[in-house]
Amino acid sequence: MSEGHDDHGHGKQSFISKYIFSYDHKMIAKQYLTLVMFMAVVGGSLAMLVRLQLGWPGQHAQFWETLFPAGMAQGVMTPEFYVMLFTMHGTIMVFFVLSLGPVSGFGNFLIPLQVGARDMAFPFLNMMSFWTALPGAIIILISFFVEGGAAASGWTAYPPLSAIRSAIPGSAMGQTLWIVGMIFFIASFTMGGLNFVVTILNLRTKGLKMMRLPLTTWAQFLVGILGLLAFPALAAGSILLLFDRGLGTSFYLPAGIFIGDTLFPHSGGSPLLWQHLFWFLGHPEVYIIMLPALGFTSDIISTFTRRPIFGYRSMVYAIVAIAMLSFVVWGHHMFVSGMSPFLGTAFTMTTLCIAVPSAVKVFNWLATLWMAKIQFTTPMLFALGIVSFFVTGGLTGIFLGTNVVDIQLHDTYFVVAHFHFIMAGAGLFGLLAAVYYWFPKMFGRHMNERAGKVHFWFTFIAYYGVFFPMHYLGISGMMRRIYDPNTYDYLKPFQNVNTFISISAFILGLAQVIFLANYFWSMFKGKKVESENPWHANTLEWSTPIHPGHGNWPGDIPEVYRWPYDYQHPDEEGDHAPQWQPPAKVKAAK
Amino acid sequence: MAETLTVPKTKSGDGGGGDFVDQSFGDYGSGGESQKRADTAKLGLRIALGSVTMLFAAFTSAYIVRSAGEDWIPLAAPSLIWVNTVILLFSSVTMELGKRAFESWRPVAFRKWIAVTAVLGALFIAGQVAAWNQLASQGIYLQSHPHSSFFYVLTGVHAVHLLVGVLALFYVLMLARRYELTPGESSSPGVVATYWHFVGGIWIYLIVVLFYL
Amino acid sequence: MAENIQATRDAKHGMALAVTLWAIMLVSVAFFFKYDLPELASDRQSQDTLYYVILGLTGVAYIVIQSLFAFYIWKYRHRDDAEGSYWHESHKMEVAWTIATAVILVPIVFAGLVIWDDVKAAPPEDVFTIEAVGAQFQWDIRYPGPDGQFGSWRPELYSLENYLGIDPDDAAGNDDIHLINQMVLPIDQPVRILLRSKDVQHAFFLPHFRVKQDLMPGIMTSVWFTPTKIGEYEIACAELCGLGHYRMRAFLSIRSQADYDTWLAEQSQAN
Ligand code: HEA
Ligand code: HEA
Ligand code: CUA
Ligand SMILES: [Cu+2]
Repeated sequence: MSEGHDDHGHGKQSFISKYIFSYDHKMIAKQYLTLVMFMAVVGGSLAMLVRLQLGWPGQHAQFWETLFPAGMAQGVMTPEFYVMLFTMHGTIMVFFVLSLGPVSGFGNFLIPLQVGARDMAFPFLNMMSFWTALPGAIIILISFFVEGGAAASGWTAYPPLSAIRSAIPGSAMGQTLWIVGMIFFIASFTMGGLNFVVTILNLRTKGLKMMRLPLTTWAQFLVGILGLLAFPALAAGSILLLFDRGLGTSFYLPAGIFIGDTLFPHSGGSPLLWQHLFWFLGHPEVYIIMLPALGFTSDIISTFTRRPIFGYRSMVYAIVAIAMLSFVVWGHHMFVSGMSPFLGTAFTMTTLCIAVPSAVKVFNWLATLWMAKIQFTTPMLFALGIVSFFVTGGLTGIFLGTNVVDIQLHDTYFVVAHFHFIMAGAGLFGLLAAVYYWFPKMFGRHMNERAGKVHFWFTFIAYYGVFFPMHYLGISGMMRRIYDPNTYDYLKPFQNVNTFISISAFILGLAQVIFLANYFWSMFKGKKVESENPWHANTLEWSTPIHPGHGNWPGDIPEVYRWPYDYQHPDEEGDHAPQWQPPAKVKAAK
Repeated sequence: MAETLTVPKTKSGDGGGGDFVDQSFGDYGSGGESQKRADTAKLGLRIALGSVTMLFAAFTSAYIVRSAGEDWIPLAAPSLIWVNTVILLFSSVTMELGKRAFESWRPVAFRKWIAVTAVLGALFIAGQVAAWNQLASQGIYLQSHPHSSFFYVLTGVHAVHLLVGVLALFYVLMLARRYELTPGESSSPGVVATYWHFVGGIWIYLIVVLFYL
Repeated sequence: MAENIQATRDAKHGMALAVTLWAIMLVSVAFFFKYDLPELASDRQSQDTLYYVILGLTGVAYIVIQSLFAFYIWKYRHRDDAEGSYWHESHKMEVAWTIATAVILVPIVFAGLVIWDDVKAAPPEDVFTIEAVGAQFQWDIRYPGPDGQFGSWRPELYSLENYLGIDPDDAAGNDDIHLINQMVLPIDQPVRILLRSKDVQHAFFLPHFRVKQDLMPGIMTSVWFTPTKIGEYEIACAELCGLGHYRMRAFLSIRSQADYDTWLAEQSQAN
């Protein structure tokens, strides 16, 4: 990776400055993606253990004891281990996979390339952001190995469960580490968001107006803003939680808490306060996960249908609307919490409003497919998968957003199905599609198409197999976060559904091995790309050399003449006109 | 390809030709490299301040919710914080003097005022530690009651932000000593000054929230 | 256009995807006829009605959108001679589907509003009140006894002996009935359940009655409903409350008024 122009002037970089403490946004992105991949394997494995328990509750296999001496003593999973499993699964997946991956990873990689900048606005801050995320991830991971094990109060960490040490026997240190890890994560994400917003506003190349930005970059722009405005609430909330845990304050802890044989001396605090602070972040956070995936989808679909994206403007307005609305819907997670019924009504109205801009996006994608010439590359297959998941998962949001219906469905597997379709499904497919699509730009090689397609088919079908039946469990009344549903008589008939889900989940998990193998194999052995624009795409990143150096363009930064979706433009030769290609008339004049 | 051409408006254009966002953020293809960095730093700071504002807004809403509890015992402000307030206000004045000295390029005065500001900032933090001690010696600790908890946490978070400001001042001072700062080229004194005033403003805001709301 | 052409044109995958999408759509919808809400045993019919209305609306949206999506994938899979199109904007269409979505949502919002007000409204005059106390990992049910009055309680009195923290000096408490993990209610009689937690958050969930309400430490929450079917049911905890969350289960028995009265008399005697 040295053909490129080196902005810093000094010839050869040391290993450390090139691979470890790199300022280059592309290297930082790769560092992030490597971290994400590791965290995804951990988070995915935790999910497999969750499914192991739910598929065959209380099954016995001596073999597990050697792996998890505490969590699976005598080869049977303990309930406290189960709680830790899904807590850490949720935390790792939401924050360290689907926030760090599409945003910190691909945002970093793509923003400077797509806006025509030599690097992020603040490269040092960018490096710091990675070196803050990494300790956060490490802290979260080592919490499995402290006495008592990892945090065990769900990824939502509701107090008093998360605030009082004796509320979960053993989980003393783990929860503290969880909070500390989250604070690192928030710091990292905020630095990243700052870079995103400033870079997009300020470092666009000549001719690149906001309304000519690719939708991916638009999404990253809004994600940056959401992060900057929403994460401080969780930071504040976490600081207060830390004080309640360690220093005896009563921000969240009311009087009259009696655990074991002890009456705690707290008074006056409000557990609801945490819920408000958490979900004020939590809801924008889920759109932080969603928006980049929607951006990737739009760009990939446009490339492989060889069609301009339909309704570019309304796409932009839609994500702006979604981003704004996401700040006023957080109460839909709290319909049965005992907050004022008036708020329940208000939050239902705002929540259902979000369906409108979301629908606009779906219909625009459909219209883009109309009269298309679809090329079924692996990234395209994944992008199409996103559309399907987004519709499936989004529609269940309507049930949950209606407060009356949510009374029954809240905290059941219906909710689990909802967010695994829209977040784990659409979000993770966004990440995968992005890897397949931008891999040639990252490494100068293609991923193996055949393996990619096999990966797609197993993953897509298994995904529906795992998560669609969860709707049935949910409406039948199966609660989430339960170690053994067979405790309840009315849930016993559904054990076969759970077993089916678990088997699908193992297929799903195994399919990811194909992906990992393909990724690493292709990095070194994949087919080399022959031109810098292998997909014949229009966005600016494809104007850089095959191996862009630090500084991205060896010569001048190209000027932008058009929006990124000029496929099959009637006035242009060829089937696509990249952003850096002057309009036909100008070219003729020249 | 890089020559500047007036591009006639074609059908392809952009997503319809809207420029609504661009009035304020034009194209940066022209203009000196350093000019660009200056704007970038300023913009970055403004956005970061938005984020800090949200942090304190979150604390404030927690405070308001919590102060409705029936165990709320109002806390009398420790007298030292008024001394600290005066110090902080004064440091904003010296900061401004420093910034003006920089803009009209009086390097000696500039360095002097920055140093004075940094010292005042450090003094403020020391004063805060003293104020906490004063409160503790009255038997009012972090966990005593919710108002005292909020007092310690909010002033603590503020102190951390001020500490960042002091460090930034030292950084500016270091650049100035190495003669790496020139007006028009560098924006760091202006950026630090904005930050400083902002953190001062947050202090006043906190005093109002904590004791006059 | 040399690279990737082989792979990209794989129209086979397009056809397979379209068929898969149709198949998934059909199978997933079919199972909704097999799996349903648990049989309703309370007066909260309106909640179910709204659920079915939404199921119908979103179901149609799901079927139409996924099928159309699959159809486009099928129809516009790459063929060399196919005609392309640069058409990418239609104000009319965009306005139309924006409004259409909004219009579908209006009745949902409106019905939701009305029913929510109903569910959250003050209980009728003749409601009778019992208390459910949640603690790791047990439900303690308290009836006011023949005098219709609960004895007062204070957290300071919590102990392993005085589990509910009842004030021994309050005479109203003498005849209170305290049951563990068991609740008995008469049919067709509105009941209000006061909910308090002794430790962490729990949620009082009656799957067959469409009732769910969190227990929030520090405050007292409540729900009311009218049982309409005689039978034995389960009470579940629906909010993560620690390692025993999954086994925080209790039993609810709905009896005829006569059976209930006999039961109550027995309990009072035993007390
Ligand atoms: C990426 C993440 C993501 C996204 C995008 C969404 C999107 C939405 N979510 Fe989801 N949600 C989560 C992640 C996400 N959610 C998570 C993680 C939780 C659980 C947290 C926890 O408790 O652990 C959750 C929980 C959750 C709840 C709380 C449930 C409960 O605990 O009881 C609610 C309630 O309103 C809700 C609603 C919605 C709605 C209305 C949308 C909407 O934005 C969806 C909009 C999309 C569509 C509607 C589909 C497209 C439109 C059409 C196809 C047109 C036709 C449509 C109509 C005619 C209506 N979500
Ligand atoms: C956002 C992400 C996300 C993702 C991807 C997943 C993925 C999966 N989840 Fe999870 N899940 C959550 C978020 C997520 N989940 C959350 C927030 C909760 C709630 C926790 C709580 O209640 O507190 C939850 C809870 C949850 C439960 C409920 C537990 C309970 O309530 O008791 C179950 C049960 O089956 C489950 C299963 C699964 C399964 C089988 C997968 C499978 O899809 C996993 C298969 C593995 C992978 C898909 C990883 C593959 C990726 C790679 C190998 C590399 C990719 C890397 C790059 C591209 C760089 N999850
Ligand atoms: Cu009590 Cu869960
Ligand atoms: Cu939400």
